[in-house]
Amino acid sequence: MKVRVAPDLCCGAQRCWEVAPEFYTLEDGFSAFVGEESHAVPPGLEDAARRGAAACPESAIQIIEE
Amino acid sequence: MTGYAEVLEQEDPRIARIFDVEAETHHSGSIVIDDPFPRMQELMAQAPVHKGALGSLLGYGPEAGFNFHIEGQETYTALSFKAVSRTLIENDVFSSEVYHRFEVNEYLFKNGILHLSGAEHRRMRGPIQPFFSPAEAQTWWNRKAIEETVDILMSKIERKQSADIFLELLARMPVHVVTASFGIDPDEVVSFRMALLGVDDDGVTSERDRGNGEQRSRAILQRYITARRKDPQDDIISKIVHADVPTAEGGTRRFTDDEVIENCRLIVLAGGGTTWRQGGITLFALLNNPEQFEALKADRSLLPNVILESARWHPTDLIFPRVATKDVELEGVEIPKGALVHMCLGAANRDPSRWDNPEKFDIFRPVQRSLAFGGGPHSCLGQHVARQEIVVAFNAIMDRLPNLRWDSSKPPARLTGGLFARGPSALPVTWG
Repeated sequence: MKVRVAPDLCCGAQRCWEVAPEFYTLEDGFSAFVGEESHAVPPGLEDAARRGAAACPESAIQIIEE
Repeated sequence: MTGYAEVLEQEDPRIARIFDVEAETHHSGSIVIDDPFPRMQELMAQAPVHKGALGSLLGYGPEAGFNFHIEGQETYTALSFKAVSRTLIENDVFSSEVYHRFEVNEYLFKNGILHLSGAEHRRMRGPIQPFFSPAEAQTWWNRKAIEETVDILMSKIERKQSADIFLELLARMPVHVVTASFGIDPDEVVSFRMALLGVDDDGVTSERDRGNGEQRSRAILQRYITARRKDPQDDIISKIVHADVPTAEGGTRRFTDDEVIENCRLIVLAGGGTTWRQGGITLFALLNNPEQFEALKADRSLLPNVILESARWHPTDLIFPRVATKDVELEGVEIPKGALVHMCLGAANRDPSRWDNPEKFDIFRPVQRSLAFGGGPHSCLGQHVARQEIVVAFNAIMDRLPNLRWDSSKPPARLTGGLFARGPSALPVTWG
């Protein structure tokens, strides 16, 4: 599984980090994953990745199942 | 209870009294100004952050009574995209607790999410957030009220040859959509908004009206809250009263009645006003740029970007406040603990380091997030509902009122208001 955080959608609401800090981190208040490239989800953190994506008020977090 | 369609089809003279941008500005104690953008942009070109309140920096003077001005309070104004973005994101340093300093916010919303910062804000906003997601806006909200409301209002409008569409569609749509979705009976919609605004049936306001309004809006909401706690319905009040609210100790609880009342007041008041004004600014910009309006008609997929560009170009609210919780440096300016900070979203949205020709309304520019809906933990809760409402309304306008244009027999419309809650004076249009 991978996640991608759309650069022009992340508004720094920080909900992903609030509900799933074990996977989502922040950089200057925005998701540290913001950018064009996707980021691999370490094994065991798939639920955290999904929980953070669901909590995003902007639907900025895209989950890519492999 | 009167039926929904029946209420929407009625002419209600109170609508024209409460949905009037200049009257609203006077109620708030502010002066009306024409176009503050050139001076805001000049200030931003001088420095990204200035010492002083925005109204005074713009030369209107402290007596202008603008929202979020506190007489004698040391104030700084952030103007550049970078400075305003940081003040929005770092909500622990630039705190929303500032709202306790403003009387109207204090008596209507003091137990709501607007005033909170940090972990407490996250615990309170988290349970409400999912009801306002992009997916919910496009499904639940659309089905619950948006499609039907727009259809009923447009059926009434298309029987005429001309109309003030700002009043007849863009004012009535959001107030009915948001209030009905909360579960409040349609025949109580207008009186509920008047109670929130603290205005009586003549559209004037006094201290006594405000006090009565606090009690009237509390009484209306309390009735629904009590009923929905016992017997949930498919509405937002039911969703809120049955939501799990995390506690600091790691458990969960329900929202208290006061928390529900003050969050409902905040969301219904904001949802009724901002969507109306921003929808109006969007149509104003399209009517003044007919070649862009034609391009949109030819390619409806541009509509979401059109709305974002209008909100960038001229957000209805140019200013929001914060208070510094410690000594902090912002873009080279030392801001002392306790100082008031004015965040000028209007200037930030025209920052030339982020947008070329920022003063131009251009639906073809590459989309870059603006600060029209704020940002950070307090970013606009209802923005996706608002954007969906405007999408449905504008699609209906293009489908049902072909060849929409200014009605040249009426005085020309202009953008007006204070530094907060701006919008068109009217949108007199004709078609056919």
